Amino acid sequence: MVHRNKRRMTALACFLALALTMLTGCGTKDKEEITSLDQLGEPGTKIGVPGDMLEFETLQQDYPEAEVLVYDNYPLAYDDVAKGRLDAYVYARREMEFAIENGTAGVRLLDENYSKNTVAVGLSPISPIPDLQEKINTFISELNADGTLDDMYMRWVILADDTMPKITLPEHLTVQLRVGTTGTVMPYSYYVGTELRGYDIELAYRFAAWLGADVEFKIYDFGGIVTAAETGDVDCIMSNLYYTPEKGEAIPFSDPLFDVEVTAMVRATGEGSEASDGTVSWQDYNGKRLGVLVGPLMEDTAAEFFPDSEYLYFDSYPDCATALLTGKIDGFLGDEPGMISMHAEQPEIDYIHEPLTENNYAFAFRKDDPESAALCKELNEFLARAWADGTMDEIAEIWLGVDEARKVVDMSDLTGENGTIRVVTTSTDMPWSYIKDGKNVGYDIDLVVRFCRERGYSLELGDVDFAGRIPAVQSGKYDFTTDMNVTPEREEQVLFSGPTAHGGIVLAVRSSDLTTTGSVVAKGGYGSVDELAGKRIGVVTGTIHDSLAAKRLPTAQIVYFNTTADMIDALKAGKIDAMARPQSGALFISYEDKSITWLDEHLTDADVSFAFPKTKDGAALRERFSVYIRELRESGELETLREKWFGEDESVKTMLDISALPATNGMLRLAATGTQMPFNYVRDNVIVGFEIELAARFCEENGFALQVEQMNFDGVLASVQAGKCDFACACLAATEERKESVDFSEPHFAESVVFVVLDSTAGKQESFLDGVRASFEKTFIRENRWQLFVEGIGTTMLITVLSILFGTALGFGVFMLCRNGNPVANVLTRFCVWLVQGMPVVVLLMILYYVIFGKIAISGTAVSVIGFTLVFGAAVYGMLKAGVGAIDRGQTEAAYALGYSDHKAFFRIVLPQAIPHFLPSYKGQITALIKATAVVGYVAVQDLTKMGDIVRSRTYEAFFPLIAVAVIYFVLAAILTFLVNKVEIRIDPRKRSRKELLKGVKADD
Amino acid sequence: MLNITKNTNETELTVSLTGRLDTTTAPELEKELRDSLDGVTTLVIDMTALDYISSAGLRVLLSAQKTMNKQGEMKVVHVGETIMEIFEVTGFSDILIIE
Amino acid sequence: MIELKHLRKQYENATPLKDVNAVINDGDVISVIGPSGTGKSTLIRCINMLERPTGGQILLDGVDITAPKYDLTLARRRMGMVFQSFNLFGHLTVIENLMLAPMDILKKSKQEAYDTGMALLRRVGLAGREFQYPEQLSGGQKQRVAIARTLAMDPDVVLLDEPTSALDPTMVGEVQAVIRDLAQSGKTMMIVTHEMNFARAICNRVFYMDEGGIYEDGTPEQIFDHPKKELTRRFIKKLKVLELNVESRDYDFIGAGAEIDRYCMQNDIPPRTKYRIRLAFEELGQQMLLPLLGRTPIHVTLEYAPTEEQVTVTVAYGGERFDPAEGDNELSYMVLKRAVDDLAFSFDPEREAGNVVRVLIREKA
Repeated sequence: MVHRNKRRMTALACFLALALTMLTGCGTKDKEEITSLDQLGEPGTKIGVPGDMLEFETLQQDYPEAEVLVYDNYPLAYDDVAKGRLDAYVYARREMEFAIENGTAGVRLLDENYSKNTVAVGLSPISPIPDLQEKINTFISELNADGTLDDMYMRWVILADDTMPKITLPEHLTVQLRVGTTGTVMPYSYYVGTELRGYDIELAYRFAAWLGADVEFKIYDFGGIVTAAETGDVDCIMSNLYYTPEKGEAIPFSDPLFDVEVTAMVRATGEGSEASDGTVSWQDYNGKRLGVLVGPLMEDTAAEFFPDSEYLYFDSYPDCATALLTGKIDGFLGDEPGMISMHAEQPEIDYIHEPLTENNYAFAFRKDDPESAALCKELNEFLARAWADGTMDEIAEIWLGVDEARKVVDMSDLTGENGTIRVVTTSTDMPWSYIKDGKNVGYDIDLVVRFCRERGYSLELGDVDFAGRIPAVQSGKYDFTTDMNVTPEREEQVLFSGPTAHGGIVLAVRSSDLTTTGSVVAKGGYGSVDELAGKRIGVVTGTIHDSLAAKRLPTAQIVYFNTTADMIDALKAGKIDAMARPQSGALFISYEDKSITWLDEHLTDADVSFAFPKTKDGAALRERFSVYIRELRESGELETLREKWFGEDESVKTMLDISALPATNGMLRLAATGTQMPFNYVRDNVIVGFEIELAARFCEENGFALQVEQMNFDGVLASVQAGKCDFACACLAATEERKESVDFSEPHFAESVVFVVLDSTAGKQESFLDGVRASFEKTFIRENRWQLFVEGIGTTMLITVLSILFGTALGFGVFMLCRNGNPVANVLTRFCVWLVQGMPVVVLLMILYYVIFGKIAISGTAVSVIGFTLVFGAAVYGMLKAGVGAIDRGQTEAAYALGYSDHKAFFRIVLPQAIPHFLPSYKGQITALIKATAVVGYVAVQDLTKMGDIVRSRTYEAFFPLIAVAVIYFVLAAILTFLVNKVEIRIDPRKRSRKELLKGVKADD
Repeated sequence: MLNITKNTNETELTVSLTGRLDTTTAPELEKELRDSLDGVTTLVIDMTALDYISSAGLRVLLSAQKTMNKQGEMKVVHVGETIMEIFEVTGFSDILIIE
Repeated sequence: MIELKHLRKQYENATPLKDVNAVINDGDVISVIGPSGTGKSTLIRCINMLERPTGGQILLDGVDITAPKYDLTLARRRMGMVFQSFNLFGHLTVIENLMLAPMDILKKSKQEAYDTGMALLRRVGLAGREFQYPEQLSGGQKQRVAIARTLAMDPDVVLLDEPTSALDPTMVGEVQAVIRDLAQSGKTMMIVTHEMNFARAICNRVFYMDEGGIYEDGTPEQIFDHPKKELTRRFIKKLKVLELNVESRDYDFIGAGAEIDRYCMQNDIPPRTKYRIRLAFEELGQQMLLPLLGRTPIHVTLEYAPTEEQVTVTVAYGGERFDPAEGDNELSYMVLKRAVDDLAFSFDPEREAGNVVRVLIREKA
C-alpha cells in the first residue's frame, strides 16, 4: 500500500473565491481546474470520500486545509463534483470509470492514483480449519490463473449482473466453513429477498466447494466483523474487506483478491457539458411557480423567501417531485435530508445547496399531558445517548446513503414487555418514513424502533397525511409523531423532543436547471407547452381535459369534440393546433398514425379506475373489485396485462370470451364507450381491451356473466349513476366532481394527460388513390366492419319506422280527442307538446332513459322509439291541426246540414280535403326523423351513426366512415319519401279516372 | 261659426260677416254692433261670405237698422240668393236697404 | 210544421234573438228580411241547429229538437240548407257532391243516387257538368249545384241563407230562377234575402226581423205596401232616419248642426235642402219651442226617402196643445214656412209628446 506523504502549500489566488465561498455558503465560484492531487490541499477544497474507507482519515491527514466530507451515495457524489459542489471525490477508479462510461457527465478522473487498497479475505487466527491461510491462497491463485476471479469481478462489479451461478457442493461434506459477511454491501454481499448474493458470496461457495465443506454464512456489521474472526466465531470474512495495517494486526489476511486503485474524480471543463457556474441560486426562483407542502412551516418559508411566486400546494414530496418533473412547477421547498435522498432516488431532481433556513427536526408529543411528557423525557434520554455514541450518525449514514441493502428496519424483536407505543407518521416521506418492500422504513422509523427495542416497547405505526399528524397526536390516538420541523408556532401546540436530525429547508429544482444542458427536442414545431399559448386546443366533451388545458394555457382557445376520432381529424386538418389526450391514447394513435406525437409535459396524472354506483350493492361490488385489482397488482399480473394491451402487436391481445361466461351468481352490466384504445374498444365486432379484460376476469372469478353496453362517453357515468349498469369503465380519472355522483374502485392504471401535436417530421403522404383504397379497406373490409354498418342501418330503420307508425297514431289520436274543444284534453296536449318540442331530442331521450325509466330495465332502442314517437306524434298533431284548420268551416256546416254526424262529417268530408295540405309537411317530418335518430348513441343504442363512430375510433379516419354514413342516411330518407309519395298519389281524389268514379253504375248519355 | 270683420273709414263702418248668423251666433253680432256704433254715420253689412241666416239674424239686423236710422244709414250688401229669399218672404227686403 | 217558442240566442256581446215566436206551416215560403245584424241568419241557422239556441224551443212536427239528447241528424235529414258561400265539397266532382249524402245517410244505392243526381242536375240546368269539380264552375253554377245537392236528400224544409248575396249581379238571375221553381213545387222554404222584389214575387209570408225578434209578420202586400209598424216602414222605404232629442236648454245645438250636416252628406242631400232642414230645425226647435216652458224634451226626427228624394222633419213635444202657427214668434214662423212645402200640426192628448208638427222640406228652388 502506498500513500502520498507529500504536502504542498500553494499561494492562494482564490482568496476572493474563499471569501465568496463563505458568503454563499455551499455554492462555489469558478475555481481553477484540478489537474493534480496536490491541488486538493488548497484551503477550502471540498473532498468527498466514502465513510468506510481508510482514505477518509488519510485525506484529512494529507490535506488538513481541505474539508473532507463523507459521501456514501456515489451518484450524488459524482453529480456534486460535476456541479462544483464538491471539488473532488476520492473513490475506486474502476467504479468511477464505469460510471463515466455509462453516462456520468461533466467529470473526469485524475491520472494519478491517490492510493491503492487491497481487498482480501480476512481469516480467523483460531479457525479449526487447518492451514486455512495456505489453503485460501492456493485457492485464490488457482482462480486467478483460470480467470475466474476476473470473470467474477466483471460480472458482479462491472456489469452488475446479479445472477448467482450454481455451484454444487460435494456430497460428503466433511468440514464446516463459517463465513462472516455483512450482507449490506453491493455488489459483494447483499440480500435479494432472503437470498444472499454477491461477489463474496460466490467466492464463499466456490471455496467451500473447493474445500469440500459446507458453508454457513454469519452476518455481522462492519464494526464487528473483524472481531468475529478474531474470536473465532467465523473462519473467514468475505465482504469486500479492505486490508488495513490495523486489521492486519488483529487477523491474518489472504492474498489480495483484487486491488482497488483509488483516485480523485474532478470536474471536467470544456468537455461536453458545461458545469454549473454556481450563479443559480434560490433567489433566481422568486417569481417562478413554487411547490409548497401544506402547512404553516413551508407556507411561511415560501412567503418569506419567494414573495413574488405563484404557489401550488401539495400534500407530499412525491407529489411535488412529479409536479416538478412534469413541468407544473419550477421548484419546491423541502428539507435537506429529504432532498438528498430524493436526489439519490431521482437524479433528475436536485436542490440548491444553500439552505434557506436551518432547522432541527424532532418528534412531537402531546402538550400538557404528564404521560406524554414522561415518554418524551425517556426519548430525550435515549436521543442524548444516541447522539453521543454515534448511533445517530449511523442512522444518517444508512438512510441518507445510497446503499439500499442497509435500508431495512427490523421490528420483529420488539418485546413489548413495557407496553406499546403508537406513533403516527406520513409514509411517503423519504427518507424519514416510507414503505419499502411493503414494510415501514426510514430514518425516523429506524430511530423509533431502536428506542423501542431498548426500552422494551412494541410499536404501532399509523399513517396520516402531513397536515393531519399534529391533530392525530393531540387527539390522543397516538403518542407522538415523527419528523417535525421545530418552529416557535408549533412549540405552542406540541411538546417537542430533543433534536432527532439536523437540516434546513432548501429549494429543490430540476437537475437540468443547474447545468445548461442540451437542446430541447422540438416536437411538431413546439418546443414546449408554453408555445401553445393562444392556440386552439381540442378536448373531448365530458372529460376533464378542458379544465386542465385551460388552467395550463389560460390564453388558449378550447375547442370541444364529441369523439376522439373527430378531434384527430381536426388536428390533421389543421383546425386545431394540439389536443389534450391521455398518454396511453396518444400512444395508440401514434401506432396507427406516424404523424402524431406528443409533448413531454404532463398536464396531470390521474389514477384510472372503474366507476360504481353509490348504492349498497354498488359499494359491495366495488369493494370486491378493488380487492381483485389489488391482488392483481401485488402479483404483478396487472403490469403484465398492461404491457400486453399497450404494446403495438395486436395479435397478442387476446382475452377470454365474454359471451361464454356463465351467470352462476348473476350478471353484471358494464358501461363502456368502446372507442378508447387500448382500454375498451371494438375489434372484429367484439368489444375488448385492458379494462374489458379486467372486468371479464373478475367476472370469471366471481361467477358472473358480463354484458357490455356501449354508449357515448357522457352516457357512461350517467348510466352508472342511474343504476342502469353495475359498473363502468372508460379510462375514467377519479376527479372530485365525478366522485359526487359515483364511487371509484382501486385504480388500475395511472394515466397522464399530454398535449398531442402533429409531428412535422412525419413522412410524405401517399397518393390520393392509394389513400382512398386504404381507407376503404380499413373502413369496410377489415374485421368485416361492413357488418357493423348493416347492423346500424337495421337499428336506425327500426327506430324510424316504429316511431313513424306509433307517432302518427298518437298524433292522430290526440288530435281527435282535442278536436271537440274538450278543455282538459286541449290544455294537457298543449302542455305536452310544449314540453316535447321545447327541448332538444337528445335531452328528451336522456331524460327518458336515465330519469323516467332509470330504474326500469328497458333497452335503449325501446326508449328511443318512445322518445321519437312522442316527438313525431307532437309534430303530427301540429300538422293535423294546421291542415284541418285550413279547411273552411262551411264544409263542416254543409255536411251537418245534409245530416252528417260530427264524426262522419270529419272523416268523409273534412279529412280527405285536409290530407293534401298535410302530406308535404309529413314527408318533411319523416326525413327529419331519420336524421334525428343519429343521437340515439347517447342512450346506448348502436345505430348507424354510432357504428360510424366505432369504426372511426379504430381507423382514426374521417373520409370514408363519415361519407358512407351520410350516403346511407341520404338513401334511407329517399326510400321513405318515395314510399310516402306513392301513398300520396294513391289517395289524391283528383287522380281518379272516370271509370273509377262510375264503377257499378250504369251511366246515361 | 261666425266671423265678424270690422273696417272703419272715418265715420263709415263696414262689418263683414263670414259663416252663419243663427240663434247661437246672433248675440255675438249684436254685442259687436252695440259696442261699435257710436259715432258711425254709415253702417255697411257685407254678406259676401255669409252662408246662412235665420230669424235670429234678422232680428239683429232690424235692431241695427233702427239704431242707424237715428244716426245715419245702414245698408246690407252682397246678399246671396238664398238669404235674399228669406229677406223677401219676411218682408225684410222692404225694411233694409239692400244693395 | 215548425214551431218556434221563445227562441233566444245570446252571445257575449249581443243578443240577436231575444224572444222569437212563430209558426211555420207546411208549404209556407217565408222570406226573412231586415237590417243587418238583426238575427236573420241566426234565426234560420237555429232552425237546423247549426246554432244552438240559448233558450226556447224549436218543435219539428211536435218534436223538440232543442232537447239535449235529441239526435240532430234526424232533424237535419229533413231539412236542407243552401249557404251564401255554396260550401260545395271541393274534393268531389259535381255528381259525387250530389251522390255522397244520399248514399252515406239515406243508404241509397250508387245507381239510385246517380240517377237522382243526374235528374237534379238537369233540373237546375247543369247537365253535362257532372264530372267537373266545383272549382271549375262559376258562382251561379256552384249555387245551383248546391241547391241540387240539397234537393238530392229530398228534404221537407229548405232553408236558404242569402243565396244570391255572394253572386255577381249577372248570375243572380239564374239562381233566382231555380229558387222560384222550387218555391212553386210546394216545399216549405225560408229564405233570408235582401232581394225584396224577388221575395215579394215568390213568398207567401214575410218576416221582418228587428229588435231581437220577428218585428212584423205578414203577407208580402201587407209588409211591403202597408207596413204597420214604424221600423218596418222605415226599412221598406229604406228610410234614412236621424233622430235628435232636445232635452233641455243646454242642448248642444252646434253638435246637432254637425250631425245634420253629416246626415245630409251621407245621404247626398243637396245643400239648399240642407239649409232648409237646418232652418226648419232652428226655427221650430230653437226659436219657437225652446223659449216656452215645459216643452222639453223635444223629439226631432228627420226622414229621408231616397226613392222619393224627400225629407220629412217631425217635431214632437209635450205639454198642452200648442200650434206654432198660433204662436207669437211670427218672424220665425214666416221663415219656417219659407223652408217647407207642407206643414201639418196634430195634437194627441193621449200621447206624452202629443204635439206633432210634421213638415215636408221644400225641394224646389
